Amino acid sequence: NPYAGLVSHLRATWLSGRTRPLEYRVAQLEALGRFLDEKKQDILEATALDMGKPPFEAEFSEILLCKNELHETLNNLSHWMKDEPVEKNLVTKLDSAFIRKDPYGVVLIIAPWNYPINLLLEPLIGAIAAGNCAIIKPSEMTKNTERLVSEALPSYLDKDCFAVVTAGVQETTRLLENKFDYIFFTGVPSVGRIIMTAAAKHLTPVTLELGGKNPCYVSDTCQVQNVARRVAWGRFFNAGQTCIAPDYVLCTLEMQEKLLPALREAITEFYGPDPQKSPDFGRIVGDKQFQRVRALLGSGRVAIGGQTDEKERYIAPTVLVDLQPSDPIMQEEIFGPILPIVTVANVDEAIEFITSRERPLVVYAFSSNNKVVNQVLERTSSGGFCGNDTLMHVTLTSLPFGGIGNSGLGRYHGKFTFETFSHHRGCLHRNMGLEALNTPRYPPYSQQKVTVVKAASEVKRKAACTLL
Amino acid sequence: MERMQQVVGRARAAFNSGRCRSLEFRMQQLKALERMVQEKEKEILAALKADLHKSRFKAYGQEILIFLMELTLAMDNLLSWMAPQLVQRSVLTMRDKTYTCPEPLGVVLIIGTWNYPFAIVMQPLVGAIAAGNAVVVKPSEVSENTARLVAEILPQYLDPELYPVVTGGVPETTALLAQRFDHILYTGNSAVGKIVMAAAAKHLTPVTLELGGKSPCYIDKDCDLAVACRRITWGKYMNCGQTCIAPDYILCDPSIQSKVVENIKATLQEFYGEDVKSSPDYERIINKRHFKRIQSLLEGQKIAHGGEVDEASCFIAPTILTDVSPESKVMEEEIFGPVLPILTMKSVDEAIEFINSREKPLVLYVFSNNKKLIRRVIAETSSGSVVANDTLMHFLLLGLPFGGVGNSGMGAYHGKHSFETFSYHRAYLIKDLKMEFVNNFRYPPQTQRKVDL
Repeated sequence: NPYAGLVSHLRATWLSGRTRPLEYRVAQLEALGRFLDEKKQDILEATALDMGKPPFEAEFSEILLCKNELHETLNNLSHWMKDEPVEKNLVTKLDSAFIRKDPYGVVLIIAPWNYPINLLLEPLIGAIAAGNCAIIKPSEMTKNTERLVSEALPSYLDKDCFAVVTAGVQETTRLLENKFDYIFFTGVPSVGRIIMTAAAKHLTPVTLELGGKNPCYVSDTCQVQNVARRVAWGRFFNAGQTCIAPDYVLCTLEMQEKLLPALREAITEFYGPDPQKSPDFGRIVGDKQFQRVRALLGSGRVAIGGQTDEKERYIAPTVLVDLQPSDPIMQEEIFGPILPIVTVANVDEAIEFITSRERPLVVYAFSSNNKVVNQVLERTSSGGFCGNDTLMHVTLTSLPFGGIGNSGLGRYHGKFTFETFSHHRGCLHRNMGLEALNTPRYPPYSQQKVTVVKAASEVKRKAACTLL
Repeated sequence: MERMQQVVGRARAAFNSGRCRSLEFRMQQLKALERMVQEKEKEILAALKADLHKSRFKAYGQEILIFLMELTLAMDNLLSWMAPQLVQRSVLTMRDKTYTCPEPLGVVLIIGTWNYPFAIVMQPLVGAIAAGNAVVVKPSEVSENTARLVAEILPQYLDPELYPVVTGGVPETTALLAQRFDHILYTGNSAVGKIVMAAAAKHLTPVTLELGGKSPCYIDKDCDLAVACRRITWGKYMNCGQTCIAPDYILCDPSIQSKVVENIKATLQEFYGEDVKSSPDYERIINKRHFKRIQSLLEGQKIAHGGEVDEASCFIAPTILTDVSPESKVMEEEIFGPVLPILTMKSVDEAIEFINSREKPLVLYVFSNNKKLIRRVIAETSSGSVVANDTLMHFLLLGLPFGGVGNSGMGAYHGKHSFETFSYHRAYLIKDLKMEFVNNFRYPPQTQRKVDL
């Protein structure tokens, strides 16, 4: 077991209690902040090399969002760490009852390649804040970022508590043989199953941030141009390689006819007449992904875009129409700059289409009519819901971010990351005196004792208030 | 397998119909459960007596009381638990609606166990129904009378499509676990816990595993030994030691070991009288297999008190073992019986090290007058829960999350924690289609000015 030594070293440090004090955690988090500041240029360069990530996108998604999380955590950590008192019953009135937030121990964070810094460091922020030691594994698909992280990050953090492990599929399988106290994985559902199965061998709790096909319903009553811009932005950001990107549009044929020119205009506004020349449009991360996404262009008919360049791994911002639910592009998460439009007769048909499929990470609905947005909201199920925009819900550190069903289990961001990496320990500190009060609970039993125990422990119904 | 598919399929169709989502419906089901316990109290107590030799009072106190507490708490608070929660907005979302709202997960599975066979399926059921789910209930086949009763009475009070009861042993449970659920709550041992989680992994189903382990009980030299030993005796020998949160073994200084034994002996006398076997308040081991298992733990041990057994009635007397070695068989697995090993530790440091060298327990007990020592033990160890100066009592405080960590489990329930376990909080951001100019900064083409903004 090649990683056993590393894991036991980290565990030994954790057992020593080094990560428990607030001051220690703050110091490590501040160091992480310095990494983001001092290595900003390197991060922008590495992600540009790895997947042609435009500097604005990289700065916004990889640096800014991470720093927001960091600041939110540093601002609130001492408060989050406090014991939470709980309501007591009659018997425990004089005792101390509270929930203690304990670290789990040694956690494993496995990051994907699409936001290689953000999706590695955001969970790490919570793991450190909660007092854990951590092994972090950046994606091997983004080689430059992986190298940057493994070479530069360790010098900022305590090497006895935090380690970067670079590993491909084989090595990751070996890594998973070790016992971790928590595993945080971001990636595809099929690998999520493998991770959870491996975790089951050690009874390790997990958070799985997975994916799926995020539907985007566009109603007939809306400002088409605004919709087109917001949908295009969400779809083509990072060349479509975003777990919360709108995966496909559902709308009437009538709306499709209005949407197409609006989308065309938005794409031109964003990327110019030749997006391949725009510095603001990304590339596909690797050859295998490029082949996979390019093959999906065979579904339906290309209405906008469709051009590809294998050398650059460039796929133009593309819109497909005339699709059938059985088309290949409707069977997997696209994760590329292709937006299929599936026509439906009305909102009911759209909702049925959505609910007949796996529950996605997010459901999008666009309408000027609040009632329509509410209908989609109420009759669907998903990790998150965003009305009249795309992607923006993840910029709020106050909203929990996670999936449901096939799109994942668990959630994080802001305080939720801290909570994810904490074990909520129920604590009851009783008085050693007043033993006479305990007499009713001891044998030998009688009806009288039962009555007393009942009266002392039970939760009374609140009086019904007819005014409410 | 087909039967399981049908049962789960029906539950899912019933859930999809949406009828279990309204507050009124959920309250109706919870009220029905309350009626069930009131009307069928006699039958429930009889089943518990048949399965575990539990006296009326014990059975009521251990299994029915807690269930009624959960029902009351849920019914009183359900409206507020279900309410959406507004969250803080950012500058960019200042004009938008941002909130979370708890949603039911769908079809959940509750697998019970045999030691508190009624409470262990009913308590989580309250939370699962309160959270708006359909629930498949699988009581333990080992406590067969209770299982039979639950299968009989639950459909009389609850919607039978939404809340089916499935009975059976390992084959039926395996077939059930092959189906797709939206959450599984399992109570039992770690070995089966791993099997449940592996089955859940195939469907990416979140799980709550209420497992067990050896819950240590550290007795400090500085404490009122008489009181401490009475509270420990109560917790250890309740239900004949067959309690997941029973103090499994004692750690104490060698100088107080004999006093600990004396005090426990005196308390046992007080609780069960001279002839424990004839006390109506002392239970029996669930079956021959467990009887033999526990009996074998006594081999080669120094028995300071007890040790009497009667295989025919699955009786094992309250037993204390002294000077137990950490390597002995009785220290390998969770005892789950009325056998209390005492291991001597020269200091609290040694005790903490001993505890930390083993799997994380479901609960850690520490008895001391020294508040600083208690704080230290809590801070330097890890366990599902921790109780100072008593045993078992955290179970009755529904505000405390009840669950394990590491080998003793994952997730928690009781009270609002059950509701949370069986819900997920969907995140909502609702914007306006107008005010598009606010978004301009984020759209390409990007200039440095935009970036700085």
